[in-house]
Amino acid sequence: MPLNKKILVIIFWIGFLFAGNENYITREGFASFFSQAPLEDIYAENNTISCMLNTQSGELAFIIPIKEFQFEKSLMQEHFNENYLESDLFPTSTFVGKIESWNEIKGLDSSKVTVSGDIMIHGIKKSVTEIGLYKKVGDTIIGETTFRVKLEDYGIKIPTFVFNNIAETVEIKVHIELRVKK
Amino acid sequence: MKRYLIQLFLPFLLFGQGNLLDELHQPEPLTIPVKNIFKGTRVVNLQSVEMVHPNILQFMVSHRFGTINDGFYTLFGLDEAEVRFDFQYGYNNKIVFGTGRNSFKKTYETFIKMKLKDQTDGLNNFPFAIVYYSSIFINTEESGPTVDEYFENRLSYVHQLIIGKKISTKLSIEVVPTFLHRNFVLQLSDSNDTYAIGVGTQLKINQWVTFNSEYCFRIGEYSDLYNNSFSLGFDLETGGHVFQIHLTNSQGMFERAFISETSGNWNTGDIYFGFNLSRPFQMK
Repeated sequence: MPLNKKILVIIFWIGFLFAGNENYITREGFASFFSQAPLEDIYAENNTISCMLNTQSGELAFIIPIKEFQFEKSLMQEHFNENYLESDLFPTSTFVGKIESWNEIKGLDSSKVTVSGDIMIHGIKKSVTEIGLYKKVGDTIIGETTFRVKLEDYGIKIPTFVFNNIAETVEIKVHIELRVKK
Repeated sequence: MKRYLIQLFLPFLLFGQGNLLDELHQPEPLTIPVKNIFKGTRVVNLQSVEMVHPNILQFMVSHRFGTINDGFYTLFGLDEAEVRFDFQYGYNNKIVFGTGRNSFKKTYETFIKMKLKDQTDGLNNFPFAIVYYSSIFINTEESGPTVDEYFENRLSYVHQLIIGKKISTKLSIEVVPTFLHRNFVLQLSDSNDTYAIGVGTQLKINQWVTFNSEYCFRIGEYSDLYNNSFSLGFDLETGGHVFQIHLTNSQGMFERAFISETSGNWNTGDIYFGFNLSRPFQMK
C-alpha cells in the first residue's frame, strides 16, 4: 500500500475515534400527561424517558415507557394501561426526528426550536411538528416542549359512558436534561 | 485496492450512526409483572387472583334472583333475590381484608386475601400468580336448638390457593384448590369437610367486556342433594364500576353456599340470573 493511502486510512480512523462522541443522552427525562374533562382532571408523571440527541446532525430520538406513567389513583393507571394505551401490546411510545435549522441553533445558548419527525403512540405512527425550547447550561443540554395529542388520531377510543371523564385531547409536557454519552 | 477501500471505510461501518432509536433501546428489565389477569376480584362466585389495590376500599353488592324456570309468574325469578354485599380494603400490595353479609342463612363473613407470588415475564419469569384466600362464615339465622345452643355449629371455614395465569392478552385461567369445613351439616350423608378444585376462565372480548366461566368440582362423596357449581357470565367495565352479570346454578354467594351447598341444576333450568357490582373508593 502506498504511503499516501496509508496516511489517508490513519486520518479516517483518527477522525472517527475523536469525533465519535456526539451523542447526548438521558434515561431520566420527565414527561407528564394531563386530561381535563367536565367530571375529572387526570394527571400522570413519568421520570423514565430516554432521549438521545446527535449534536452533529440535530437528530433526536425519544422512548417513553408507557407503564411508567404514575397516576394519583391506581385504578386510573390500570385503565390507562389496560383499556386505552394497551401497554401489553404497545409498551413504548417513540419519537424520531430532528431539530430544524440545527446548524444555526447549535452555537446558541438558548433558542426556540422547531422539532419535526415521526411520533408513534399506541402502535400508530404520525408525522408531527412541535415547538420547543433549547438551552445549553455548562455541559448539559436542556429541552422542553408542551404539545397536545388528539386521542382519536392514535386509535384510542373513549366509550360514551366515560366521555365526561376523559378529554378528547390531552396535553403532554416533556422536560429533558441531556449529557454527553460516555 | 479492495483491501484498501475496506480499511478506509471500516470506521464508517464500526462507528456509523445507524439508527438513533436502536441505540437508545435498552435490554428489557429482568422482571416484568403481569397485571390484570382478571378484571374483577371475583370470576363469578370464585375469588380471582386480582387483589383490591392498596388504599382502596371496594364495595361489592351482588344479587341472585329466583330460578329462571319459575317462568313469567315471577318474571323468571326477578321477584325473589338473595343479596350479598361486602367491603374490602387493600392494606398493601400483598394483603386485602374484608367483611360481608349474605342474606342466605343470614351469614356474616370476614376474610383475608394474600398475594404470595406475582406472575412475571422477563428473564426472572414466574408462570403464574398465587393468592391465598381464607374466610370464616357465621350463620346467624334463628333456627333449631342444634345451632342455637352451640355457637360453634354456626361456623364454617374455607381455605383456598388461587393459582392464576394470563395465558395471552385475551385469555386468563385460574385453578383453585379448596378446603372447606362446616362444623355442622344437615344431612348424615353429607361430610363436614369438602375438598374441591375450582376452575375459572376469562376471555377478553374487548377492553371493556369479558366472558367468564367457572366450575367447582368437589372431590369425594357428598349428599346427593347438592350439585357442583357452574356459572357463566360477562364482565362489563364502565370506567370505575365493574358490572358482572351471570347465570349460575348456585344461589348462595359465599364459598360454603356455592361450593358445598349448590342445589340448582343446569339440566332442568333450575338456574339463577344474577349480578355483582363493584365500586372502588380511593381512601388516600
